[in-house]
Amino acid sequence: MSYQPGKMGLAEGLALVFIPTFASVFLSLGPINLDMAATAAWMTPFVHFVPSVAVLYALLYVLKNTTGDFYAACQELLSTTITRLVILYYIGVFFLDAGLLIRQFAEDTLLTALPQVDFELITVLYVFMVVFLIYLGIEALARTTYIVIPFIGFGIILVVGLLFPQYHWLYLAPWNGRGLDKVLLAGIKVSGVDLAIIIPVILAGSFQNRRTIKGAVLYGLGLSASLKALTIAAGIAAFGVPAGQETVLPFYQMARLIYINRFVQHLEALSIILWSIVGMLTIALEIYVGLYLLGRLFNLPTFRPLIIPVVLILAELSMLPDDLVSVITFYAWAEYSIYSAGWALIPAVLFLAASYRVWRRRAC
Amino acid sequence: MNIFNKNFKALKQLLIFKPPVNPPPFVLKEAEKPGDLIASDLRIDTAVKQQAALLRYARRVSNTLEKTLKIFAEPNQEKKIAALKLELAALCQQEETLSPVIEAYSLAQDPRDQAVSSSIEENILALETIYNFPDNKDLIIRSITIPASPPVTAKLAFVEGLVDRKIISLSVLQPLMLMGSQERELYQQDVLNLLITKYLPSNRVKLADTLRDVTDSLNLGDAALFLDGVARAIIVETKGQEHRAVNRPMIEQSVRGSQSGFTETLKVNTGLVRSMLRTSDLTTEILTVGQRSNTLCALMYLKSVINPDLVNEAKRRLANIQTDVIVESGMLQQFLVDSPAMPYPQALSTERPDRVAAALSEGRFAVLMDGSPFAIVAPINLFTLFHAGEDFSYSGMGASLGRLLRLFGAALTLILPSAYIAITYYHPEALPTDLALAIAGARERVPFPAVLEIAMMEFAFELLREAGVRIPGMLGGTIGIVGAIILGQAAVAASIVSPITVMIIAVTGLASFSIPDFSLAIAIRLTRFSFEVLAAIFGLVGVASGLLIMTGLLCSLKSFGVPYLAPIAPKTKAGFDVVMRGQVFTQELRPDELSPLDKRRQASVSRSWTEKEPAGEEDES
Amino acid sequence: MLKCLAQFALLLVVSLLLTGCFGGKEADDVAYVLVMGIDKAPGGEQKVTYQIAKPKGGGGEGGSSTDPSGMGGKGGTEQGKPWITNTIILPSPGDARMMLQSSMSRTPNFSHVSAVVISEDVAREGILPTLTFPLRNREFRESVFIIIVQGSAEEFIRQNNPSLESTIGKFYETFFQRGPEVGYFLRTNLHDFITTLKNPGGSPYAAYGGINPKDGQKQPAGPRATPEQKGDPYLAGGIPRTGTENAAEFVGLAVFRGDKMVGVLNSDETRAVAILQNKITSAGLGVVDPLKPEKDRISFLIRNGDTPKITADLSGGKPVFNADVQIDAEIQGLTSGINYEASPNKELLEAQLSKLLQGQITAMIRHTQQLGTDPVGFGLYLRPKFANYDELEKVNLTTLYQAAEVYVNVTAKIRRTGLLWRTMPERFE
Repeated sequence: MSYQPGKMGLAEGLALVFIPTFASVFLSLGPINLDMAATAAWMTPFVHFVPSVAVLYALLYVLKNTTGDFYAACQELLSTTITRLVILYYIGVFFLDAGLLIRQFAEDTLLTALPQVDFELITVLYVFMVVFLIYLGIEALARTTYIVIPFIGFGIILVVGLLFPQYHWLYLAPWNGRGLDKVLLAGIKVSGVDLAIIIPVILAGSFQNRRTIKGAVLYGLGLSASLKALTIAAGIAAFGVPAGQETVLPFYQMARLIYINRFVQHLEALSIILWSIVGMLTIALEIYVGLYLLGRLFNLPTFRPLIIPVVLILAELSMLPDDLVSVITFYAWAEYSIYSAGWALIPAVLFLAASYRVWRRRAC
Repeated sequence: MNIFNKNFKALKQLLIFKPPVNPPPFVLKEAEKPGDLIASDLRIDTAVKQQAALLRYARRVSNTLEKTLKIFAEPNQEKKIAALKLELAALCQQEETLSPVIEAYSLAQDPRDQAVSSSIEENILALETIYNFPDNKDLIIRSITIPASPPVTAKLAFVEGLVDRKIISLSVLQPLMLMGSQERELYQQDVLNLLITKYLPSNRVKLADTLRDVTDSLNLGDAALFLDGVARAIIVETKGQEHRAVNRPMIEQSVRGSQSGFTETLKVNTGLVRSMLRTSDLTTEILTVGQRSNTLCALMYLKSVINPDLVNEAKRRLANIQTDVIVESGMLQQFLVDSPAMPYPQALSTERPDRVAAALSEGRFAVLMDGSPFAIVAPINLFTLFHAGEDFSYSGMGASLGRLLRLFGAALTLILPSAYIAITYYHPEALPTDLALAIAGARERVPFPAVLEIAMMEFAFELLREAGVRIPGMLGGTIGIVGAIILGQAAVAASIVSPITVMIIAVTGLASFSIPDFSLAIAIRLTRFSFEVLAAIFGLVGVASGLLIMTGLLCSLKSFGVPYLAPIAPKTKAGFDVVMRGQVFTQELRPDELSPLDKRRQASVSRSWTEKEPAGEEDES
Repeated sequence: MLKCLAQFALLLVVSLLLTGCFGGKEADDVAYVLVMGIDKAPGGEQKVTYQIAKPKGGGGEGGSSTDPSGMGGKGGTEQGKPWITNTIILPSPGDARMMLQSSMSRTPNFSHVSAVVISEDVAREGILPTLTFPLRNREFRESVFIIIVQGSAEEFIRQNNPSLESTIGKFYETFFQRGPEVGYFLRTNLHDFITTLKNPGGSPYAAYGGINPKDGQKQPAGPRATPEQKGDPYLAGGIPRTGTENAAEFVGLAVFRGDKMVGVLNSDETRAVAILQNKITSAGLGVVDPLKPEKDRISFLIRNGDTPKITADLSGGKPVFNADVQIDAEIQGLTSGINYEASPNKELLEAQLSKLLQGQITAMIRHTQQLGTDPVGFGLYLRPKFANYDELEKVNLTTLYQAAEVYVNVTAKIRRTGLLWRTMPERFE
């Protein structure tokens, strides 16, 4: 198959997991998180780290007992029709996420960087960049992402560090938010963003062995969770819960706030570079995975001709909603309901099927 | 009537303007190719040639017959009879080649592919046809008679300009012609072997069977000796064309490091590399590229270190280049690399033998080309291009600082103008208030928009740079003064550009000179122009997209199968030599991405003297 | 294929360039607004004053003209000054901004606004409606300073004529950079204001400014808190001074309850707030000499020795706060010549200083409890006492503070004595 992804290692896998799970920190999920968990919102990334690791181990167990990658595992364990439905669901979910992200990132670029541009033109820019990145292939895409990650980490730590004089530590009290049970619930509610841990499993053909996948997901998810927790905690300490609930872009507001003296201020322009790169990479990656599954589903020799039409369709669809607020609310709801099926339900089903098969085999 | 006519004609001649009678101007039309003859003409051609060859043979036979008659008419001519026998033997030998089938076959061939004939006359005739003699005055044919009994007629052919005339006179002509008064019986034994082993004191002698070998050797500068009656030619090594002496390197000067650079002669260059790596592992394979230029290339590698797949791939690529003429190693580089469309160089071109030697010891290979003082080193990654030759001559910290400075200069030259455009147009909030007001005040008097200013200044700077390269040496200083004054002072004073723009372009230009490799500097300049366009359209988001595109393209670029951003993406064992240069005694492993045969190049304790007892007595305290 | 790609790329590039560069503004098409002032105008409207920078080397000297703009507004160019002021009267700052566009040749750009000056009348009625415009507009950043002035903001802006700085922005920024260290005024920016307003715990405050008539008349702002105090407290506009320095000054703190201003703290009380917030690094203080109280006094330079420890206790119905303040003092001036640098006089002096500061802090707490505002932020220390956030939202922490008992304990230590460590008596011949 000419779209065989190529050889990737631990670092690339880490990048593939880190970027999609981390992109949401630049968007408006933060305020919704604050609604539910208030001052303990910084705990939520760690809260959904644990079930994600459980899902990871379940999937690794499935891979151990079947041959090949995720698609092959589905084919072996479930009937053909159900496999097709499952794969269609995943394609749908990735494309939906990509479309929502296109809309949100384009609107945010409009809001922060280029206020007088036509909105369609920003979408065109994103479309162009995404098409280019997908054409490069997963290897180059993963490597580019991997190169960008230290800069992201450095940028975030810089912003968080430079805000230090402006923190009110007591805004983080009471420590348990609205109650630890509510925090747990909030964590589970926003965990849909961890759907990205499926990605190395889907692309398992290009990783050397399962240990690489395990390491990639653990490190990637851990890094993403810690950085997210840090950013959310810094946001709460700087803004407090009610002011944080109002903003559209918490990270951008944080970057704008930096004021050490007359000269070290106005640094938010650099953060624009950071999150626009993250946005483009995330969208490209998710559309790539969707296209890859599409190619496997229909047994296509290659999916390259599909790239431009699919991206254009998604961009058009993303321009359908009227305004940003409805997109944000829909995104929050979708994370809770639609993504969780792919994150937890289907891996659970696969795990049960695999363990059933092993038990049957052992019984004979 | 006559008078009237005459007068009329005279008047006409006087009054009417006659344009001067000039021959028509020369216009270059399609050439008539010699190979365009139709089949029947071709057959007539070959028939004529065959006829001519037979006629010549016939003439020789008749000459020999006449000589025979004359010799047998006088008594006591043993020597001459012996000579005659040889001549007859030669003629018999030649008759074998004259059967019609063989003749037709050999005539239909390219004259170069013919075998060396045993008749000197045929050989010389063929050579003259090949070299377009007598129009081509470079081919010299010298007839000599070797004083043996019987005397041997021989002809020496060489191409003037490629040979060392002293060697020809001293080590070919002198020993043959002044063999001493003793007459030797040359034709008793194998005459060629005798000549080669006893009478030709040249350091390299070989035999040629076909005219192609002869012409190839002649084109390289050797001399060919044809003997009558022998169907092979002796090729004697007499290469000695004029060449430049080994000088300082022109482009890559260094403060501390060897000061010899490559010259245009292949053998001198390989010798220079070999003088740095005096090991028998260093292999030099010679290949020819270019069908008309027949340029020699040397592929050098360390056999015990380099990955054999890499060598095979390099040889495969070099052998499968179908082109006419290759003049410079830069051309060869573009024929060889994976993606010549990308301006980023995927092979290193260097003038210094010490750099080549260092690269070879890491597991890379080098291609040197005759006629070019630049060697091509491959495979490389982006960070090798930032290493200067003398990085290892200084302490770790000093050299690391130099490397960081170069990388920072490259980043600066890439981003500074586009960042300035993006921020002044779209994000004025990113500037400190005082600076924003200063820029606004400075721009008040300038009639052009900022983008146009930057474009004009970039263009002027590029003009300056190009002029600086092309200008003859005497006027070089003038350019500096003129450029500085015109571009700097006068333009600002005339309010054509604002001083900030001049500053930015000057800093960018200076930073771009810190990039060690010239092709990389060109590539970065091109990238910078596209960044400026993106920044003018989309602001900082455009700069971000440009950076992403550049990173993506660099990630997917490969140099001879090795990823271009190798120690970073994919993550391989970096060693201490990528950006920061570690201590000399910690460079224990060869670069991982080259997959060499022998990974370790230093023991884990390189300075084993630190573990041993010192020389003198121990300090009392 | 390549030709196809090239054509597509060309089409893309041309279409992009035809769109006109998306509002990228040349640096000389923009006018930077540096200060915004908001006043109350009759009829429920607001008078907005803009102070706009004139870049150096720009065309046009300071002409005389007054260009009319808006409905009944007036503007003018200061003679030879690098800024212009422009005042517009309209219902809200958002509308005024649009009107600004039609009275200036360039597009106003608010990304370098350094201060928003609000008059006291507007503040007393509630400041939040005015502030929503800077909050939502992406050009304003949340680090603009909020200043409340006595009287009219327009007058303040007009008479603010810095003698040392060349740009107005720099004036505000340098003023508020080091100034609060003395403790006579504190700086707030929009971010601090809004977060303190919206988050439970603490009340917002703003620096209080005014124009000094510069006639040297003393206008104290209240009685001295304790007999140990030598100097009087002042408010903005009341410092007795003359000279050529700028008429604008900042002394005191405007305190808010919710978004309405309820009162002003004078210089001593502001310094007390600053001490409790650990913001003092070099404040000056004068104390009556304990052994010769009639005419001698001692001047100190004080700083927070350690972060003040504030503990809260909510076990009973009423909250109880304990504040433990450490002060390091350096003797700057000693008029009596008594050897206060060594014990036993040192302890005497330290006790005097502690009593002074304690009295000032207690007076401040009483004043703020009376006004119903919590600038120090005692309410914040109550936050960890709640079980979870829902319970926190049900309670008003400022009301709790009003009813609370606050115990303040000040320990002053004299660490340094300047260049002299004792005073030798002079000998008269």
